[in-house]
Amino acid sequence: MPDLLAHALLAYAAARLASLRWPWLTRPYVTAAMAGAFVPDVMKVRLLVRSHRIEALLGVPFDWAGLQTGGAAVLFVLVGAMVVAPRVRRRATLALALGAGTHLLADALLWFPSGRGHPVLWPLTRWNPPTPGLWLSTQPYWTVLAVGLAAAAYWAWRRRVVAA
Amino acid sequence: MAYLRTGVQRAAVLRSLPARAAVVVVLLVGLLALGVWFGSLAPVPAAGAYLTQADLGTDYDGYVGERAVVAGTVVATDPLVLVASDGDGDPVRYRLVGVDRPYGVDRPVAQGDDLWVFASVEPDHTLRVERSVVLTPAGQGYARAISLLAGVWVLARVVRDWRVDGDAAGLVPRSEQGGDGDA
Repeated sequence: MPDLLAHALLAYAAARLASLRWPWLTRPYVTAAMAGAFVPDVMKVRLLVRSHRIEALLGVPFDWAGLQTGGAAVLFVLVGAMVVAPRVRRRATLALALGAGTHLLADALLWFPSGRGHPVLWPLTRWNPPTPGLWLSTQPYWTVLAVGLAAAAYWAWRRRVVAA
Repeated sequence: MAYLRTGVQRAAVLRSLPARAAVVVVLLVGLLALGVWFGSLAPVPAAGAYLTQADLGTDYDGYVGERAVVAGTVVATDPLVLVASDGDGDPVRYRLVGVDRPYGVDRPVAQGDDLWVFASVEPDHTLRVERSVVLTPAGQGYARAISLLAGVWVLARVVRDWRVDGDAAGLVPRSEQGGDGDA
């Protein structure tokens, strides 16, 4: 459902702005943050294999929605931490986590018919936070806004780099 | 932050490929476990975890009076009928009342629309809709296409910025100089 381009752009903006404070966030780590932004939507693969098919296969309950939570994001980021070389593990983990975090935060602004968003803190809590309902992923305006934020972050960083 | 640093440093003992592969397997099993656990959860309306169409499929009459979130396709407009899948993927027909002004379009709901509703459960598979949104084919197509574009773009960036290092056994940045030159 969400628009992954907007998520990738927001992660880019967050990472580029963070790099002003933490210079180790060079281009590869900005890219890692953008990759992290895809993590909470891995459950979109449910469009290919529905939850009930997995339930039928395994004989136990299963819901892809469980992967759109903070708990699942933590596990995915740790998978990423294991995939990179150990010497870059700390930075890669932080960058991936930044990307996944911006995605979860952006989702907490989405419009839902119930007015309540995904349980982003699960399994710590079942709480589905109330959302301000700012955007729907099928509306292009928000992607345009994300492009603007990414561009602004790029220019802010560029000015600092040129000035240095 | 100090905990995070020492924790990840302690985890730096996980240097060997077999150890890391084992951890990945454990993590993937953990993710599967989260999916199974989430699938077994009962609704908690007070926390905003409302009934879903899968719940309605198991015991509709027991849930009359509660509120549910349902997504499906409109198959008729007068009366408004929605077809949504239950927990087993089988279609269930619901009569919708109270869909006045759905979010997302400037027109009434039409046959073929994908509709996502928040409604009160009434007898005879009738849902009294409080809020609804029409997800148009154009809107959904846009979201999918642009998400695919994003996937290709980020994958290209990953390939450009990272490489597999045989000695270090894992992905490393291609360039670790501070002046990374561009975006």
